[in-house]
Amino acid sequence: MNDLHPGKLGVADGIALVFGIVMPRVFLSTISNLIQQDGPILWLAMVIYTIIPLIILYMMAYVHKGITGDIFIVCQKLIGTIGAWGILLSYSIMFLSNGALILRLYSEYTLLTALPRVEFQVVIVWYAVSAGILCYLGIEALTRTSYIVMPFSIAAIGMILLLLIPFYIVYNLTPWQGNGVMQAVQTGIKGAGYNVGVLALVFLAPAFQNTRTIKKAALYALSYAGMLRVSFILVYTMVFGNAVGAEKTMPLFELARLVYLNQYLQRIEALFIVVWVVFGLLAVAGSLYVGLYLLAVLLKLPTLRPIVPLGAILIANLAMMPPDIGYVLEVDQKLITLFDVGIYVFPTLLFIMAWWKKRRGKLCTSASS
Amino acid sequence: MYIRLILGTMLLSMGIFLSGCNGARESEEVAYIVAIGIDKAEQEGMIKVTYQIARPNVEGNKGEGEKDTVLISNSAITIAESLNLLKATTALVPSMSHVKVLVVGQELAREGLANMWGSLKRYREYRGSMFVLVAKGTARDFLEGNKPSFNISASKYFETMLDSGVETGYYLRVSFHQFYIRLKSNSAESYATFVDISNLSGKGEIATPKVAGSKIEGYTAGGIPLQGGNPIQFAGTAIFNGDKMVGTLSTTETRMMAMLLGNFNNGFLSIEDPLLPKKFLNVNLRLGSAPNIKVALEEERPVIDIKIMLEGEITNLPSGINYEQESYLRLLEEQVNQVCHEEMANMIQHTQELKSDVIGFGYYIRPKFTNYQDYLQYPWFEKYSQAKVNITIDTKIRRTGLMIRTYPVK
Repeated sequence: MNDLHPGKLGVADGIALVFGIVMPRVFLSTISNLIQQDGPILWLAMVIYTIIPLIILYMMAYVHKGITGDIFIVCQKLIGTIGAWGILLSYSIMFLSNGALILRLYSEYTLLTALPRVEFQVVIVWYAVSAGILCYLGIEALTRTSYIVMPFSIAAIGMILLLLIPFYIVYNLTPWQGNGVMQAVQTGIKGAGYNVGVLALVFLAPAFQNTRTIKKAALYALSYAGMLRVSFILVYTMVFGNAVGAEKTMPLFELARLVYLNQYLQRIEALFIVVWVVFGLLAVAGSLYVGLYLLAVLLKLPTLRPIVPLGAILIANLAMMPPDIGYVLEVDQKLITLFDVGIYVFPTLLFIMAWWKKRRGKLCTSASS
Repeated sequence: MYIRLILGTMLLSMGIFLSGCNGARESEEVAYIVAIGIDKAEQEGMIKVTYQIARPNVEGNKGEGEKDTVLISNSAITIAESLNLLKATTALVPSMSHVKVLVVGQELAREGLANMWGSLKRYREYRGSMFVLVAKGTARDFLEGNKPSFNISASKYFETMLDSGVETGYYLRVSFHQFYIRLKSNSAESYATFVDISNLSGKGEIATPKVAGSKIEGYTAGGIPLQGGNPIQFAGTAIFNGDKMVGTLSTTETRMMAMLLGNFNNGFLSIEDPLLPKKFLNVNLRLGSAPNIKVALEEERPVIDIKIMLEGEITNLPSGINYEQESYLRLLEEQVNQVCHEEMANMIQHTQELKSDVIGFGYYIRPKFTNYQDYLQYPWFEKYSQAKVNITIDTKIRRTGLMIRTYPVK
């Protein structure tokens, strides 16, 4: 399992991996649905949405700390083989379905914005093959590509948000309580599942240098993603307001289209589509990699590479199943329940078991771990 | 090794075949539409859509009297169907991605535009950055009458013309995005630039009379006394209540509106000389700071408090009175305050009569509510027409131009 667990990944790799998996939903319709629910206080939901996964990650790091081995061994020691199979299989399904959903949404939005005359299947296959290639090259290639792209993506989004200053209507952020503070808290708690990607760090723990690396990477990645999300939500609300904000299919693309400083500085969305596509590819590749990694661990495969094409075909087929975009968005909203199980139920169960076993002194820990 | 070769070949092939170039069109195969005009058609329930299409080969070798655009109109039940008809009747493929302005005829605008905006906002070729104009007559006549005096393309003409609105405040540039968000907002009503064609007779038509102390009247498009040049005029503002146009603001009213929106860059004000009313003087004004607006929700009616800070520079003093001196300067500042106060009060009263809060005072009441539902339940647009308005204008003449004193003419 050497190519699965290089043990060389550092903080930067971790940041890039998590950022790449959790960030792309900002580009998709999730925000429009949430602004309709919460109103001007959506930013608070985004803050909660970022903090909860961080707590969960720290809980999982605690679980992992006393036990040497991959995530399967950890789960096996805590809840038995059947429990470990159940949990890891569920996580694998979560990551693969997340990958398939993002693949479908990005393909739809590519057709809508950049390549309206291309066949839908061609775009899906194109994304799936590219994501497959990234996965095939391994976790290091994936995280380092993501790390190279990350600053440019953040700068591009930041630039769009700044160029829209003439369109800001600060009063759109009021009434401050929006549709209610409790509603925002609920959304934040319920939506935390969209950040299930942060657990990739725990699943791939043996590939990282140590637990400190993982914690640090999670902290940075979620902080960056959180800051960007909150800034984005604030600007989006100021520019579009509640009613129009809830209408948009592609929030960030619509913001980029609005940039008009003068005759010479406008129509920048064409440049931005490139950043957006790269983001989508990395998210699909990241989700595909983690989903397949969990299967490889379960099946005790020595390497991931032979199942990458199968995985890519699987998510491409899954992505092509929904008949229309409306159905995809419906599935996206329903899938959050599954992600919530992944972010709350399993980590809490593992944490309680680890704590209980440690307390009773039944857990054998080696000094080297 | 082989796998890398295969992967490399695949990536290269994808780059070549899937990069979108297979769907590309040469520019001479595309009809770039620079303006769209929408009017009520003669047939019941139909609209007449006029497309101003750029002729790609004209720029640079335009002959005498040759226009760089072509106008094509058709009548259809929807804009989408009209586009179908256009595609069916022109050899080139129409593209809406370069539309600069959307002109709506006044008759249609007064009937309501709700059914129209949906397709313009949803279809990806239309952009939120195109500008919205309302033509006093028909949109077709307006586009037909557009004959730029200088050798610039139609799209550049519209862009430059709308940019220069900030130089006077006599008309405002309104993007489709700005128009649309107000259409859906409970805080403000929509407005659009008002345009028309002049008969170039040199005779004007006054829309708003001058207020006490002022030397200038307000005009709306088509009414500015004009001879020569491009007959089309951008002047004033079309204001809406919901999706229906309910009236117009004149040039002087629009300037006051610009001040309240914080969009007033600068403009000359011609006023009576405070000590010699038969004489006039000119001040170049600009906003000294963002307008300070507060709205109190009193039980009976809302109270709007407005504080405007203006900064000015004297540009003409024909009377020879030494207004540059501190003691006289106060008189001049007071005169500016009085004129702007009255013009602003009249403008707000006009919008109250038309029940159209185009300034967006409704935005200022939002922080008063705890949550969004309470805010939505407050009937702001009804209350606006009853609101009491207190205006304070504070002018500071900062500079006296290139002269520090004036001697009278002998």
